Amino acid sequence: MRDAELLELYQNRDERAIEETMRRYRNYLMKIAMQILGDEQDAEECVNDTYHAAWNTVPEKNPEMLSTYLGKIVRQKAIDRLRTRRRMKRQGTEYAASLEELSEVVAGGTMPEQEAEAEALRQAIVRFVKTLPEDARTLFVGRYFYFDSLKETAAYSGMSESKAKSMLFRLRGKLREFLKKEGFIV
Amino acid sequence: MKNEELLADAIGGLDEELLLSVNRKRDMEDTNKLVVVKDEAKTEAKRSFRKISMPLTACLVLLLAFAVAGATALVRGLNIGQTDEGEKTVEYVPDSYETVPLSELTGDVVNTPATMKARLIPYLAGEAVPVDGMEGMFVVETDAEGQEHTHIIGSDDDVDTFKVYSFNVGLPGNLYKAFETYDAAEAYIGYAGIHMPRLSKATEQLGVFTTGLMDGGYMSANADSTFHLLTTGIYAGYKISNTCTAVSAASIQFGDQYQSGPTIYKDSQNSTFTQETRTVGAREFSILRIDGAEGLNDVVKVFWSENKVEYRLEIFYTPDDEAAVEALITEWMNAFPS
Repeated sequence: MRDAELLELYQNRDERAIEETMRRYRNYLMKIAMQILGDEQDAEECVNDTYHAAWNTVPEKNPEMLSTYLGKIVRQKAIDRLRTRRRMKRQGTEYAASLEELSEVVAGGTMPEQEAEAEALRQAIVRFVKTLPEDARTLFVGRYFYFDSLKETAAYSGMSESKAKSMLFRLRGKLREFLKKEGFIV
Repeated sequence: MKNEELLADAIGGLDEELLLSVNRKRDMEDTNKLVVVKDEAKTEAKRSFRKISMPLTACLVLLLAFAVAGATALVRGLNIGQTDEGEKTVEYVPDSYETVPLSELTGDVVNTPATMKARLIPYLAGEAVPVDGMEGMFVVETDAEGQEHTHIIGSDDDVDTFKVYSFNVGLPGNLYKAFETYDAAEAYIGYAGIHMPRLSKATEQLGVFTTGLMDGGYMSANADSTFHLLTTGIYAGYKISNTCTAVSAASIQFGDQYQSGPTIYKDSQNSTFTQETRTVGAREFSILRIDGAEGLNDVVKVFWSENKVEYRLEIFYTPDDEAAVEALITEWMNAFPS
């Protein structure tokens, strides 16, 4: 079944949509959740929550790409779960490692928490990523959106780990400069 | 909230178009593979069905489903492995995604987007297409232009058994057209590089299955929507014995469309998987054998790709059919032009 047909099941409120989503995307969603939570049970719960969120939102949102739509939902649900529980178990996960790297970007700055400013930051990040050449964009999104490990990200970016690490380092510096220029880091 | 968490949240709002290309690479790395995983819940249903023997139409369903789900990625390598949890896996790893330019086609298949479009209007209106007859799990329909369409149906048990493989050929973007001869099927496609292996056994079914993508997707379908071709292929079904059926296929894909999501082949956790290569002339065929547990059919799949055409032979059989299966594999591999 292709995405178009699957989306149609959602639109028709056919519960096979959830079953088919599980069949097609469970592994993909579990991987994202596991990178953030590092706990299979928590990840499983997040993925289940994602199915329900999709059931409730797909007809209205009408996403173009179901995979990325589901990926964004599960990513945020996993992050929310981690924060809500205020657990420290995130140490040792790829999410924790990615956050540590991102802390270099915003060190000493004050990031916007208000909704409108947060949206402006989101748009700035989109602009930044759009300026990146393909290999750099792949690295950035893989590491900081999907929280894939350095090894995995390097592999599907077609470069060595050391090269990926070096490029990510430069990207973080570039992002810091960009955010400064945009006024997000004073 | 910490600064880096706010930044991570902002990155979480990246546009889907920015994520898509990375998704593709991630898929190619670890999910765009055929994975055989155990599925205890469905094993009993599958077992009870397979004990009867695999109906030919069901075999064709499996093959068609794979062709659609896998976007006919050209397959040259088979990797058998196992997960950390001990589950056996089989990965079909494509060398590349080779596509055929539409300009190289001379057959009527190039006109199928118009037929797909013609079917869209009644589809949007929710009108049922008249049913001409039933053949196993198929319903054959003919539209006002004389174009045959085949929909997969079945009893509740059949539907449940094959749910994991199911796909909807009732959508306007999926067309099946039956043919009497290999020549006619090839001519309908009109691609010089395609050569369906001619087997001595008469075909029980022979047809061309074509898929098309609709711009904007079905969710936004309207009378102005258009289709473009995605895949087409010739599928031939054979009944070797009462317990042995086979499907041979030759398929090609167009453009650079990509259908996300893994292609998952589910089988009994008790099955075993072996692979081999066999060379005939200049061709090296990949062979995957899935030996079912007691009471299940065994399966053998043979792969070859050439001239941007993916060829596949799948045979479902019981141990009593082994001699016939080996003879069929040999005949199929020798049926390609020298």
